[in-house]
Amino acid sequence: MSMTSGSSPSARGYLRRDGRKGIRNVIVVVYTVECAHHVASRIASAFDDDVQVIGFGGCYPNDYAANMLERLCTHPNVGAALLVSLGCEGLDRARLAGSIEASGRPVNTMVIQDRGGTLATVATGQAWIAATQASLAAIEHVPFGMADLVVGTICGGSDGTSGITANPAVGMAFDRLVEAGATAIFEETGELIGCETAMAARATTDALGTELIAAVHKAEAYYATLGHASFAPGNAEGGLTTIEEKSLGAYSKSGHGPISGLIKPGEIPSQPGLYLLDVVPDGEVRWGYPNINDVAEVAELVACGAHLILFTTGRGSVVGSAISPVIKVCANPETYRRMSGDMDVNAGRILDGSATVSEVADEIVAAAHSAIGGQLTISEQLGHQEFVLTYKSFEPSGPSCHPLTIGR
Amino acid sequence: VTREGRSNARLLRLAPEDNVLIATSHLRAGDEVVADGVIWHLGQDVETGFKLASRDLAPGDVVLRLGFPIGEITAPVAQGAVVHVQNVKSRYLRTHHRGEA
Repeated sequence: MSMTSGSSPSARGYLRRDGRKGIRNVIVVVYTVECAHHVASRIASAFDDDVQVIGFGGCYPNDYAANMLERLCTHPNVGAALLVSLGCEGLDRARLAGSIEASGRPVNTMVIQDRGGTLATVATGQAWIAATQASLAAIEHVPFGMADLVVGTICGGSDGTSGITANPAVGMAFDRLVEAGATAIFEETGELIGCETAMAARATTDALGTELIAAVHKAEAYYATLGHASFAPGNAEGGLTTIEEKSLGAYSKSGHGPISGLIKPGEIPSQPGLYLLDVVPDGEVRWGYPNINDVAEVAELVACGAHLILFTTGRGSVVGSAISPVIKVCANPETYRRMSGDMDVNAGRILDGSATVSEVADEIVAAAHSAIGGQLTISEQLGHQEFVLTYKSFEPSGPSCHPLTIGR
Repeated sequence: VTREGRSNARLLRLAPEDNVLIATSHLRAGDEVVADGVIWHLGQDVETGFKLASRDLAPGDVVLRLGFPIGEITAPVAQGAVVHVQNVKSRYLRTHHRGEA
């Protein structure tokens, strides 16, 4: 395939002051503790879908959560942020506001206890958003090329068809997007168990290969402490028997290209290529499951800069995401028949012979181009903006996890 | 299904060395399905995406899908029977299922 790094015909990006380019122009309303969640939701409820609620429920501080919020609030799809704080919680709202301000994005902090309670905070919050929307509407549009794109992938509600249809089709789409100059991220090291040796052989350096294997072994040990694998009852009801069978299917989302790096939540790839996101916490098992659901994983992909998420599902997930559009690729033709109103791409056609993996990969790439061009994905049209952020802890990834930047 | 190929099989062999076949649609008990050049007379329903043993399997045998090991047989499985959680265990981490004690 030739290097088609040009922008697609309709593609236009929103240029942020920090130089990053987004494909959406979202204002986030951020609760900094669960106690402020309702007020944040009430503020956003007066606006259309481009005002979205994210936040952290915990009262006690957590470096991971603070870093995630900082990355999300300065995501290229985000134009401005309103922080809604109760007042007495532990999250360092001043530091978060400072980071957002340093990125050149409009930011305001409203402390409910200082503003006089719910009604006063809702009123002032809505007034600030209305004023900020006017300034965001004037933001500069610039061409958005494949080299600007960061795309993530996740599987949710996998079944026995996922590894034959949607996942290899996303993998082939990933190969094509990366060849065209994009950055692509796959994830869930706990669902790559048994695939680590094959994956390491694709690493661009031996040292990275060693890190990839270590990341999967870390996940295996973490889940062993929890007592079982990253495997929901619905996976078995859909024909998947073991974690290694689920992993084999999940792994195929990564395509066949070289793996350039290993990142952790909130780390933004330094140059285009294919990256594995290590979502399993470092250190002892502390706060439960690595990710409590698919939505928490999507948030981590978004925090790594993903503009767009390719979400494969066999059983039939309906979720979308705050900040970055989700393209739903349905693996199972029977699920598609039941839930076509929630799906962007029907990869189940591979199973009955009415399409090839390559043809579905073409459809996925086309759907990505449409979303980049501003067309709403199905989950966006339906108003899905799910968001979850929990307690976790990570050490930064080591030097051998990143591609050499010489000659960049 | 090969990477570029089109499938029209109702029972799919993903790799030559595999000892399971995958149902590409909901197959019914009594159906006759051609796969591996032979006719399979199904003794039970097989749901989409589920696996059938392509030969007799014994405890300790490793199940191969797409040429990769996906678990270990825990109870004898006759050729043509469904291969799933009732007769396979992970070689890595156990999984939990609804209705499990």
